[in-house]
Amino acid sequence: MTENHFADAGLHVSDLLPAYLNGALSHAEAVEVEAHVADCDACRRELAGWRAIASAAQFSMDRIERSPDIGTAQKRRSRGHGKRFVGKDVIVKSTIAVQDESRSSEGKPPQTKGSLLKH
Amino acid sequence: MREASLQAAEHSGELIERIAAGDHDALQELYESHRAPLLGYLRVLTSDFGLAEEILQDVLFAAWNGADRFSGESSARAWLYGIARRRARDAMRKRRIQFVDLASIEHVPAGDPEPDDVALVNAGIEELADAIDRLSTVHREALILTFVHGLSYQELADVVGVPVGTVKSRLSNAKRALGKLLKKSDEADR
Repeated sequence: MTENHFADAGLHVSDLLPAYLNGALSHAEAVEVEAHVADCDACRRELAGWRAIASAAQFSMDRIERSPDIGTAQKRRSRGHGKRFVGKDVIVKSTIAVQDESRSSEGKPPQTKGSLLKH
Repeated sequence: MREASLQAAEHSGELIERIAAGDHDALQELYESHRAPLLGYLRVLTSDFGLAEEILQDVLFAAWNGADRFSGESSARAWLYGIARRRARDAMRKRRIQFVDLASIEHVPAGDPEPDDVALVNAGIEELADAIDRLSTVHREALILTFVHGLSYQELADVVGVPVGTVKSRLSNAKRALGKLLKKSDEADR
């Protein structure tokens, strides 16, 4: 049987519930949360509340993504604000071109994998 | 889910190392794997598709330029989201658009009741999503990054630039604010 450290310490697991729902807890932590929630009405109610919020957050995001607001993007382009609003391939290539030019003009030596973690 | 998320994080970290070494394909790959979630996040922050697209391109420039400064202390994903957040803040300031309503974030009036979880559960998903859309940007951001993008508390803290304890209280305050909005809406319907 799993030890329930939270219950033993007289603690609730409120702080951990969002992380439990999004899968950010370690397996051991998740097991402890489940054991606590099984015995604690208050935390079980709270978990249900968070679960409703999690579903609604996804619903809200899906709704945002489904409404592309193309009008705004087109307006910006026609006003000249969206000059860089182009296809993804062009974005990446232009980023590379501009930055390669700037790296070489600054005489910046190419970065190496080995130097990456020294900063 | 956690294992998959850790593997994805590790892969993104490798991509950033390759970008720092000037690998163009790595930049393309980073862009393709993070474009949709970053754009979604930027749209939450800006409420403007065109502006979000522009900022996303700035993020790509910044990632290419700053990959050699990625220390690995935060996750690669948190690093990218952090760049996106700072770029959004700068772009919105330039356009004199309010970025976050800081005054309303951390301060919770004394005596505010604990959120009514039963009301949250009983609300329809659409009603609850409408309430999320009406939250302050920082509260909405905390909920979306946690539940849609799956960021850990530490990652969220790195993105937003606050301690983990503040992230926890921000989530809790967001839940409380949702409870209040539902109650108001319920009273208005009577």
